[in-house]
Amino acid sequence: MEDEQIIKWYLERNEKALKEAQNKYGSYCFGIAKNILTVREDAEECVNDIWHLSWNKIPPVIPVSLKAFLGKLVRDTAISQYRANHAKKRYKGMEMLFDELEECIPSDFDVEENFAHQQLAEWINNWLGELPKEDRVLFVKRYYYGDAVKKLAKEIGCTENQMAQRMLKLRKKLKMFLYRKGVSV
Amino acid sequence: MTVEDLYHGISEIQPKYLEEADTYKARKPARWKKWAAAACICVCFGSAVPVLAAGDNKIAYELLYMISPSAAQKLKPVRISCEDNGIKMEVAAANIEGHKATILVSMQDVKGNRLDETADLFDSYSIHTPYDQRGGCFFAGYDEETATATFMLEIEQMNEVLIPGDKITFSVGEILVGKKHSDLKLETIDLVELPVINNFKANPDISGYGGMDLDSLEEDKIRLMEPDEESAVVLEKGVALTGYGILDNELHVQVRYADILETDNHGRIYLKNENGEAVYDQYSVSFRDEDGRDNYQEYIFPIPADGLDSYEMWGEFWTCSSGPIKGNWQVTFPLTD
Repeated sequence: MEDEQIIKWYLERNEKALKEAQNKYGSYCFGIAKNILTVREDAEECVNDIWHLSWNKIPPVIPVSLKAFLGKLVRDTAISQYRANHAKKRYKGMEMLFDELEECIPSDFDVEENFAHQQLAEWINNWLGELPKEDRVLFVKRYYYGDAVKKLAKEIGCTENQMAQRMLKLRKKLKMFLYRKGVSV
Repeated sequence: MTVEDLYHGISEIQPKYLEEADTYKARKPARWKKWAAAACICVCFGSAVPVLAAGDNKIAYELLYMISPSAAQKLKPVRISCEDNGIKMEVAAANIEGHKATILVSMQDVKGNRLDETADLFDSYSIHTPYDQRGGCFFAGYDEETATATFMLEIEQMNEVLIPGDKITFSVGEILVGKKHSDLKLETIDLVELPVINNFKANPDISGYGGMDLDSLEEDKIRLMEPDEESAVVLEKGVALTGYGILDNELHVQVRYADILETDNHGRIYLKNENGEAVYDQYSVSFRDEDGRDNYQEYIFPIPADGLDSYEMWGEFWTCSSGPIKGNWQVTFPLTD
């Protein structure tokens, strides 16, 4: 089923849109949710929520990529669940991602007040565009999809420690990039 | 900016990059990077070194000839250099052939004698070309007289072919020296009288997994020993045995590698059976200390206690006795005909 057809059904308020979106992207979304939230039941709940959300958002939103749109909904919903359960230290995947991403934030990155998420997203995309392909793929897999370092090491054919080092290097690079952007803002 | 801002920024990664990640097929590298140099040196050491006419780069060329005469013959002089922290880095020569580019780089200590025959660029080097590439950099040799270490870079282009005029940037941030490789029988552990493990590390900061059979690893059920620092036994400088024993009918051995980000200290524990054959761990789990400097690695062998008396315990370690030499070395050079 083509995405264009599914989006067309969304726009026509045809419930076939939900069924086909679930068929096509259900396991994709569950994979992201499970990686980030770690707990299967909560990941299922997260994915169940996004179909309703997607129904409410399309229209007016018309996604350029349904896959990316749903992926973002999963991540947004996952972080809401994370906030709600943060005190319980329930989500190991999210905790690890946050710990690692924390390292990417320059300490004197003093642009919070006027900060726009869109601007940050643009910077991150620009930075990704400058990376060698494999580094870019690894970053996306780790920090967008939440794939474990162990899994990435296996895919690339290196040791866990080597992959951890490589991710550390990538985080340092992003930190430096953001630092330069922050300084120039 | 908060970590949540960054998380949301990452949620907006462009669809083309998501697609790229979804469809990417890794080309797993053969694990030859550093072995090749050693192997070639062994093979070629006895052969005559051809006379070269390469001016100041003679030493580097000679070292390369010992490793790969055919590569050395094809190299064309580049000779672009930079200097930082008293160490001069020079791209001596380069060659492109189809999808592969070979580059000869020398590092010379012009103010002292800090480099040695174990010099290693660690994970601190970067190679940038106009196209996607994968590459390796390995130690080619060391000339004591001029305090020069030579490295050979091999770059393989993924899709595009490098052509004359394309620029390559090579940068280095750290050089490790004073490295040591050891392979020791660990007499400290009595495989007949093994304690039962009953003191566990609470909430270990797990940094990775390794081993021959990762599929058997059940992350949720892992129990790791609390490092016994008081009774720790130094196995090598920077390597200490911090615990061992039996848990769930499996042998656990825990080792601490000190200051790994500065030293690249690493290694492995293995058993030797009565035929002298190596038996490696089923899997290992690593966790960091509170400062994130030291790395503990716990090796798990699925051999019951009553079957261990015919084995010997061995440890193979790669250590570094000093911290890295830090600097900012970078050269950009064009490939020419």
